[in-house]
Formats: sequence, structure tokens, C-alpha cells
Amino acid sequence: MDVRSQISILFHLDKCIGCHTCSIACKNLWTDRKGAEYMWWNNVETKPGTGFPHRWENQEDYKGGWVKEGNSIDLKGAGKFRGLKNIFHNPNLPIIDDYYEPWTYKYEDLFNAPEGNDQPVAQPISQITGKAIEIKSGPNWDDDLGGSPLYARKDPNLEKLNAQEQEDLFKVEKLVMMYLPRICNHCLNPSCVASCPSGAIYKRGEDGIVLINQEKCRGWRMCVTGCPYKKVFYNWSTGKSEKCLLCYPRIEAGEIPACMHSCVGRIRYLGVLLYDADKMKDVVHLDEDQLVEAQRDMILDPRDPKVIYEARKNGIHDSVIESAQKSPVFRFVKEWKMGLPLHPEYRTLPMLFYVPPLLPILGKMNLDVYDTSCADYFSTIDKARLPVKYLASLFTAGNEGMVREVLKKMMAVRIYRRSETVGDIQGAEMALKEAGLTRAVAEDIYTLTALATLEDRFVIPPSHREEALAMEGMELVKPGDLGFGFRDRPERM
Amino acid sequence: MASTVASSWSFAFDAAETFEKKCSSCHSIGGGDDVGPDLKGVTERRDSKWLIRFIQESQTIIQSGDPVAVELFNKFRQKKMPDNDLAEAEVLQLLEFIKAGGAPTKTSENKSALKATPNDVELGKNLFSGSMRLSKGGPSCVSCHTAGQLQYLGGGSLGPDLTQAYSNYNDTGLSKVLTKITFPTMAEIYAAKPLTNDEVFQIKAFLYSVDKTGPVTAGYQKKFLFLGILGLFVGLGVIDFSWRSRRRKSSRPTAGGKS
Repeated sequence: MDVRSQISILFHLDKCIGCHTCSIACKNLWTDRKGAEYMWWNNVETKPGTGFPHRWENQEDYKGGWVKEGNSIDLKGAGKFRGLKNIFHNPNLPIIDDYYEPWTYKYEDLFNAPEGNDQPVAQPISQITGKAIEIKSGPNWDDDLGGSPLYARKDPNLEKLNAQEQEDLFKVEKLVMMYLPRICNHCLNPSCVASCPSGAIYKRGEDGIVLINQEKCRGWRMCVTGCPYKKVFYNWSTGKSEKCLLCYPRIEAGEIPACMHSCVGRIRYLGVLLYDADKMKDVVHLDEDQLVEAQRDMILDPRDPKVIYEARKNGIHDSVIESAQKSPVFRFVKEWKMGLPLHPEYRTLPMLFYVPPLLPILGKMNLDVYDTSCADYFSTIDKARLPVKYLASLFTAGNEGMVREVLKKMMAVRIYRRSETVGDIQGAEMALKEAGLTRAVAEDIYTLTALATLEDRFVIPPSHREEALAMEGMELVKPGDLGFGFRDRPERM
Repeated sequence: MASTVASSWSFAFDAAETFEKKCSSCHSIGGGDDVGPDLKGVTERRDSKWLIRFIQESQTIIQSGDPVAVELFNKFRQKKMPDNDLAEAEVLQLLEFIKAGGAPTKTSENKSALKATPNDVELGKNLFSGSMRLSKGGPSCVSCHTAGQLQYLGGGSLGPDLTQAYSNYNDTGLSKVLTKITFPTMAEIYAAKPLTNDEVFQIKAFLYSVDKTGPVTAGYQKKFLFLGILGLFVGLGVIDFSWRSRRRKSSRPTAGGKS
């Protein structure tokens, strides 16, 4: 057993209202710099939709992630030989049109325009060229199903559905959408790290945060291809790649990452997970429908004395183990088995988990009334507007049973709480039993979902920065010396 | 060039050595006209001021239209005399040396190219084109010169085309020029790696055979351009083929076409 600690995240999609506050918080903090205008380390997508960059899930096009090769795995788009062969011309890179051309407005036109009959307008100008542009796309261009015949229909996940199911999604009375906020998954088996020819990307030993060393990065951009989630971005001004750093300077100071702190729907949870790195080799090449379960098996119970013993042996601080015991992510993912990784079939073992949304059920016209009532609550899961098949394509590599299990639990908690507070429905016991929950567990799920305080949702392990700084001989670093960017300017700037 | 600069700065200027090094391959003193005119009595024929300038920068004088200079230039098949980086005092010493009759003129020991066998011509061609190395290690002629119909793309174009070198320099002139190479660009290169007598004879033989065949319009420059453009497109084609499965367009859905 090789116990490692990983700061892990859970997004509760049932609570997401799609307000993009997380994206704005991240943008203002990290990517409002020159060359980073087009980057959205945090973005919120409407599903079904093409996402950002457009159709990023189509790995036949972008060649991200890993593919199974017998009892092992291989990078789809880079790797030793392929990477070397294409090192001067990586043929699978997204272009700026796949993202969007970032723009701002010439606001001074509003004040400087000569007097005329028309209202002055602020003309959009490109943040790359500085010239006037006609805006053709944006980072959330298909927000709330905007332009859905064009965008939502091109969602790569729809390919898993048959023609009838696809058509159903776009009928007015069945129209449906959900939100999918995305940041870097800080994967256990990151393909961006594996594809970097310069060795500039690394996964931090102490908390598993994946970072790019800006001094070592040579801008080969193999990581941009390597990451199947397209969460590594190339900065055209510095000539280096950048990605979400899970606000590590905030985490090290005991602060909550900006996107999570600002989350209006309080959908975000953060905490430490302990996992067994020895199992990794056996897990990554399993069949697709076993991946989620196997990844869950890698996560260890931080209360198990054997795990604690092994963790201490690996140098994991007691305070981190203690923090892991309180981790809300552990409860959702391991204890309640409600957290699912996004696209596990890319085999990167993402450590950002999602609780899938419980969507409105399908109604029917009944004597001029739009009727959504139904006799048996659980049957409604299969009558949900967004087919379970679609959610399975997102979160379990096609394993519908697993998604259904999570939805059942959520539904059971709902029924249970309704019978507790309103008392107008029967069968709460039945529902809980069928979902495999006890009253106590259902109460816990409800509490952590709906009533959780800031301290419940974010259990940040102490970073013991003082020890790390002392080890590097940097005790005398003063505030303001550290931050994103370059301490030594790169030559090309 | 460094050696000429050095010599002009040296205090002990040796007129005899300078004449041997810089003049003797084209001029004689009392040995008759060669590539350039016989210099016997030149100090009486010409004004010494004119001589100094001509030795220093003959082409400038010719271009300025000086009648004597132009006449001489035409008489000696328009062979350009290299400019000499010599101070006025040094030129005067040199003129003194010429006036005194100079050193006894060495007669060329090299056989005439007319006696060459086809085998000599072949050897000469090999030496010229570099398929055989010069025995002292000097670079092959082909690196800078071309002559006649030489390979597909001819030789180098840095130095002049030597197709008609034989009739321009005549046999003895060519022997001298090749035995003791004084052209400014070549002098330094061949100073330590001269040609042997046999090599001079063979190259001469080759140049003679080329000259006899007459001028050719090989169009090397056009061929070179054509090959360059062809190579460019072949190269682009190979690149296009190697990366044929690259992403060609954005995956942004557009109203016009399918993506």
C-alpha cells in the first residue's frame, strides 16, 4: 500500500444554477493578463452543448487522453515516438476559433463620438489583434441552449443516443439542459504530465495539484493536446502553457479557491482524499464500465488504522490525515457513492467528482393540463427528460446502472425529506430501502447537501508551508514576492 | 588579404619578393608579353604618377576613360589586374626594382597543353570537378568555378566561368597563374596548398579541351531556379502528406456547413 494524499473536489450539479460567478472569480484573479484573455480555467457549460473549446469531448478530433493498449495504456495524441515526430508541428492543436477570439469594447467611443442622430456604440475589438472584429463565438456561446439546433445537436455525447432519443431532446415540451462547471481535474494519471517533452508539468507530491513550471515550459504544447478536458491553455504572449492551479497560493494559506469561495449555489466541496497509488497500474487499463468503481476502490478510508499507519510511513502529516477524515468529498464519493468522475473513459482518473443532476421528469398533455404527476417515484428516473444514457456518457463511460443508483439515492432523500417536513407522501421507507440508505445516512446526505456551512464544505488541509519554505531555505521570503508570473522575465518577452 | 595588409605594414619592404608574389604570374621583365605586358622599360614609357595609380587601382583608371589605360586593357583581352594594397613609397621601390631589370625571369617548366593525351584531359576534369582531390589538399576548382559542360548543375558561381580561360590567358600564362596563384581571393587559400606541376598540366589540359569545344550555354542559373522551385513544392507535398491527418479546421459549429 502506497498511501498518497490528494486535494479533491466535488461539484453537486443538482445545485448548480449556471450563473458563471465561478468563471468570473477565476478570470479576475488569474487570466486577465496579456496572452491569457481567451483562457477560462473555470468555465460553465450548458449540456447538451458543444462546450469550451467547441466539441472538446471529441477525442477523435483533439486526440486527448489515454487509450487502452492491451494491459497498458498509451497517450492518444502524444507520447514518446509520436511526440518526438510531431514536436515541431503538433497536428492536433485546437486553434483560436475552437475557443473564441477574445474581445473587449472601445468604450471611449461612447464618450468621444461626435454629435449625431444615433446613439454612439462601443465597437467590439479583438484582444489579440486590437482591431475591430465581428464577434462569432464566445466561451459560453451556447449558454442556456442558445442556438441549440447548431450547438446542442453537435454535442458529442448525443452520439450515444439513438435518433429517436436525440429528436426527443429537442421537442419543445421535452427541451432540457443542465450545467456542467469545469476546472482542471487534477487527475491521478494526468495525460498532460505524461505528454510534456520538457518535464515542466508535475503533480505535487503533498496534495496532488497539477502545475506547470513556467521556468521549464518550452511551449511545445503537447499538454494542450494531451489533456482530454482541454484545460491546459497556451499563452501566446509568454510562449508558455498555463492551467488551473487550484488556487494553490490560497490553499496554502488556508483559503478556499476563488471559484469555490464565490459559488452562489454552494455546489462546490473540497477536501483531502487518501488513495493507494499501488493500485494505479491495475486500474488504468480496465474495461470502461469498470473504471469508476475501480477508481473508487483506490480511495482509502482515512479512519482505518492500517491506512493511517501507512500514510504516516509515507510522510503524510497527522493534520492532513485528520483533515481527510473530515473531508466532504470522501463522504460523497466513497461513503455514499454519489460522486462520479467526468468522462472516466479518458483514463486519467480525474479527481474532480460530480453529483449528477436530478432533472425534471417528462410530462404529458392530459386534458389540457401539463401533467407531470406519476404513481411510482422511482420510475420517474427513467422518465427524466435527459436520458440516463446521456448522463452515463458523461460520468460513467456508459455504465447506466451506476448513474441510476446515484439518482435513486437523491430521489430517496427527496422523498424522505418530503415525508418528514410536509408529510403528504407515503413510501419513504420503501424508497430508502430500495436506494440502500438508512434514515441516518439520508439525513447526513440531506444535511451536507442543503445545510452545509462553509467549514463543512471546505476542509482544507494545513500545507505546513513553514516547513516547505524552511526546506528550500526561503524563510525570509516576504509577502508580495510570490505569485503567478515570472520572477525572471523570459527572454522572448 | 591579411598577408598583403601585413606586408604593407612591414618596415622591411622587399621589392623582389613583392614582385614575385604579386606581379610575376602575369608580367615579366624582358621576357616578352604574357597575360599582362612586358614591364621592361615601363618606367620610361609611362609617367611614374600614372604608374603608381595604375598599380594601386587599375580598374578605376580604366573606368575613368584614360586613353592609355583603355588601350592596354583592350590589347590584353580585357583581363582585369587586381588592385594592390601598397603604399606609394612601396610602389616606388617596386618601380626601382623593375627599372633595375629585376630578377632573371624564370621560364615556365610546364609542358604545353597541346601535348596532352585524352587521359590527361580526363584527369584534369577529375581534379577540376573534385572527384579527385588535389594532392596538397587545396580545394577543388569546382567549389567556385565552372567550365564547359560540367555535371548537371555546373560548378560554383562565386568565381568566374573558366570555359574560355585557355584563350584568355594562353598556355604559359595559365601555367604561371596556376603554379603561383595570386588572385586576391585565391592567394590565401592556395598559399600553403599549391598545385603540383602535374596537376597544373592536367587542369590546363582540361581547360584547353573545354575551350576548344567552344562556349556552351548551359543555363545553370535557370536550372538552379527550376530545381529550387520544384524542390520547394516537393518538400511542401511531403509535409502535407506526412501530416495529412492534422486538424484542418475549427470544430466550431457554423450555420453554413456541417462540422
